Amino acid sequence: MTALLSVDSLCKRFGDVDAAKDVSFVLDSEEILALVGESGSGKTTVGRLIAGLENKDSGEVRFQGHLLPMTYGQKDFLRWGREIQMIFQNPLGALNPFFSAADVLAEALRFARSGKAMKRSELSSGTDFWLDAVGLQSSHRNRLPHQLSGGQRQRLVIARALCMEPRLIVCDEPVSALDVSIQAQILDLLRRLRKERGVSLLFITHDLNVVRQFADRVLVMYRGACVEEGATGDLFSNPQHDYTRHLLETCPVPAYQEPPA
Amino acid sequence: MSLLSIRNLKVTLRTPQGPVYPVQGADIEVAEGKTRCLVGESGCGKSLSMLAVMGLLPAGASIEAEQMHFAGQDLRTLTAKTYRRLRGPGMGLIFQDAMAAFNPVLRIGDQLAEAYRTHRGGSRRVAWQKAVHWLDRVGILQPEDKARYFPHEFSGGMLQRAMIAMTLITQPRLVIADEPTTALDVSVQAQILALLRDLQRSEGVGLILITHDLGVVAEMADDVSVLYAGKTIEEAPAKVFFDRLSHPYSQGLKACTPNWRAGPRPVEPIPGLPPPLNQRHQGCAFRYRCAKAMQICDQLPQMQPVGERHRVACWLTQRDQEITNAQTGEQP
Ligand SMILES: Nc1ncnc2c1ncn2[C@@H]1O[C@H](COP(=O)(O)OP(=O)(O)OP(=O)(O)O)[C@@H](O)[C@H]1O
Ligand SMILES: Nc1ncnc2c1ncn2[C@@H]1O[C@H](COP(=O)(O)OP(=O)(O)OP(=O)(O)O)[C@@H](O)[C@H]1O
Ligand code: SF4
Ligand SMILES: [Mg+2]
Ligand SMILES: [Mg+2]
Repeated sequence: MTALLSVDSLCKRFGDVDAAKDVSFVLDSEEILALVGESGSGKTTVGRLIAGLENKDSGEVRFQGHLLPMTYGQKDFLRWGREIQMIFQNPLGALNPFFSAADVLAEALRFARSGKAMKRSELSSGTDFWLDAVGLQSSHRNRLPHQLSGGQRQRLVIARALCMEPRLIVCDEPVSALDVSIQAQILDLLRRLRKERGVSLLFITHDLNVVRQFADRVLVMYRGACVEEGATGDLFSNPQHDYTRHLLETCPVPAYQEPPA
Repeated sequence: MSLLSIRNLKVTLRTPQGPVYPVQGADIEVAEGKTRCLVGESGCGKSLSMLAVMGLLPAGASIEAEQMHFAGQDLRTLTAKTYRRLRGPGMGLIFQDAMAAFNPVLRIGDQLAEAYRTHRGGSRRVAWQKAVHWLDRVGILQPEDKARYFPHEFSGGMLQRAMIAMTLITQPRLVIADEPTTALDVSVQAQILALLRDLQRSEGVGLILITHDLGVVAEMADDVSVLYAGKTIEEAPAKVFFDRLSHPYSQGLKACTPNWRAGPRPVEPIPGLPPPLNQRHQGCAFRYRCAKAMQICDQLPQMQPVGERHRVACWLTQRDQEITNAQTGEQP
């Protein structure tokens, strides 16, 4: 079986910073791979390179066996943009300030149909379905981004990515801004999509508590390079790299601690 | 001493679809040098109640409150001008959306320096040095270089730290931090939390920390307030919060908290949705989702003390409390 996504020696420099240095990994269909690492270690950059939002310096990215272009043109976005979706770390910046929640989803649904006309009733039932799936209410339909709360905007961005029914979703801190109950609901939804529609996820996060219960495998990045990779259970019970151990040690525990004297 | 004391805050917004009531009875109390964490579901009014405190609500919003005191001043009586002078040295807000706080075409260092000069004055050179100093304090490596970066050249976590630096640079007495560490990895997060704790010890800064991460609550909070649908429904010292919460919603919130040390246990969301905000609460806002709802829950429960610094708005808790009191022969 060929992997859904295979990344081979991917590199990207910004000035004198190696944001991605020789990054290689594979992602199977229906797999959830967590990408963890400290701030500035290159997680978002790797995600953006895969989604074609950043030009690659060198290396290969293959999707379903096809070699993805080093630099994306308009046509490439049309071809791959629907299959590989990205949920952005910063939802406000990713939303058009003049589009209501319903407009955002309608535009995405049209794009997913490659611009083919859709009946108004079809569009509006599609919009309602996805709003509901991420726990937004009908009262949020006509709100502009700044009229939604932080977590509601985040869920709108998630719904926009999901409604295009991609094969691969690069999720950049998708649930970090969400409270625990909504977080559980979104993770549930993602798990269901994987099972029912065979979606794969590259799940960028710093929240190890979420990784433990959600990911199949974990990839640890440090200063642009992959330093450890393994099945989630193994990595948590037997971390190899010092940086991974450090991550696990510093992860806050949700239980009362006596204040330091 | 109480630095900020808010009682029964209500915020009303006008929209083309009619008024919405996102905050309907928020109580928030912070003492000097102490931390109060604010937790609650997405959309429950955490950010808006803090914007109300900062005097930064969008146009067309109106506020009501029984009490709204900050450092001896009544916030309800402030003019726009005095409010502006109060922000910065008085109270500072670390926004939830770091990107939105920066101007995309100005260098990070200039934006920090400008914030400093607006409130503290001084020369451009001193202000720039301050900017570099604060970038350093929030853990940005090579701060002299990084101060020359534009916002889009920062990673998500770096931008969030720059945002924190921009708030702290004016040295406010009250810091309101809206999810300040959501995009930060654990080691940077620990560093930021330590910095905030430092400022509290050395300068007696009061801190309101909005977070959904109960790990952060455990590390930081002296007291915790739980909001549901715009209302404070429980407030308690941190220890009580983790050991014996009373309100059924607070209990549900804790039950769905992931913890990697507990293994790959999938957590259960609390079923159902919060009520729409286009009407004022008639009864307990949680009654549609509460497994323990009773007939009396159709009436609005008020916050009642159940222990030291521990108050709850729930009929069930109130009933249990009355039973206990009757057994021990105490007067309520
Ligand atoms: N457009 C850019 N120009 C210059 N430097 C950049 C640019 N984008 C990213 N960088 C740099 O590349 C490095 C990696 O950034 P990236 O956003 O991938 O980190 P990250 O792992 O996602 O971090 P975080 O957890 O903070 O979001 C950082 O040092 C950042 O400053
Ligand atoms: N300008 C606005 N017009 C109408 N409704 C608004 C507006 N701004 C916010 N709201 C609504 O008010 C409610 C409270 O918003 P707020 O931003 O305070 O939530 P929050 O508790 O901070 O949530 P989160 O954790 O998701 O950031 C939300 O349901 C939101 O949709
Ligand atoms: S007041 Fe009633 S409905 Fe509300 S939380 Fe208490 S028991 Fe449940
Ligand atoms: Mg990032
Ligand atoms: Mg908010």
